[in-house]
Amino acid sequence: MGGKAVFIAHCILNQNSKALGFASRPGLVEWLIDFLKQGGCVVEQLPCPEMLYLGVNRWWHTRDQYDTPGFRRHCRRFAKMVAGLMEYYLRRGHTIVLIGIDGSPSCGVNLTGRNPYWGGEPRASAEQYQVVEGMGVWVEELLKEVERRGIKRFKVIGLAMDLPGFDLKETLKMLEAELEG
Amino acid sequence: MSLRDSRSYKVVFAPDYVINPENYPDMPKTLKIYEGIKNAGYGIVKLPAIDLPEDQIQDWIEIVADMIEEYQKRGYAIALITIECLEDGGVWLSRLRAELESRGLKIPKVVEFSRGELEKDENLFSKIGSIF
Repeated sequence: MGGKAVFIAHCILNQNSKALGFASRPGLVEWLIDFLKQGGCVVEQLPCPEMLYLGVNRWWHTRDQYDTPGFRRHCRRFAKMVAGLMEYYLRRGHTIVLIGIDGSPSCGVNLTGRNPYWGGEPRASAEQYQVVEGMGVWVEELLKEVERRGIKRFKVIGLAMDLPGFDLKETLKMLEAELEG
Repeated sequence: MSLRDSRSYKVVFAPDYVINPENYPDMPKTLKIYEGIKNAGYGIVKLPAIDLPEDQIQDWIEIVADMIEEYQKRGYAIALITIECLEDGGVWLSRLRAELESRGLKIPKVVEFSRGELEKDENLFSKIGSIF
């Protein structure tokens, strides 16, 4: 695992950035940071475009709500910054890995949250947030910028740590296999 | 989908060194500050490596200032960790101060760690635990 620069979703190091109701820990997701550091990885933290757009008092949103020209423009600003940081590590011979949060409207890699009709009313049932296959808006814009710069495609992993049925043991096994290669 | 919230409302803005000491060949290879933050239950906003190309630095300073502004406005406890023997504390402290001052924002509490503290590991946990 040495020589890897692992770019992680912002909230993995800072649960205080989560949408209200979704911070599963006081500060950070210690099992993942400990795992990455024990494996000799450099850890880089992505900006949280949701928090930088709507602040820390926001309610949860779907991908449909974030899929606007304004939010995408906002994400593209960070995508340029992060791609620059990736190039910094590539020049030093590191391999890049990206870890997002599956189920997230912005940081999802394999799964995101959709509902074209839902406005995110605070009293609405959370079940109206439909988890479906697809990427979040932020990861999508970041990977577009990576491709635009000709950065060789790297591993992109989604961790469904906020969804029901999350299995820590299985996740660690999967991460170990993914980061070995 | 879980809707309980366990956030601490406490955030430290920390240099890259705290998480990635391997990026700093002449510095002690310790994760003790990270361990202390983890045990104390604070969130971390990690700044990029201090030797990032000059043309990329200001953008990062601006979004760090954006986050400080938002957390201050919402009443979160925040602090800035610096490392004495790293250039500008390892966080571009003078430039970050200038950015915050230009916005009329309060400079967060600055908690500095010396090389001696990092090498001896003594009292690091208690110093981190009493930041707020």
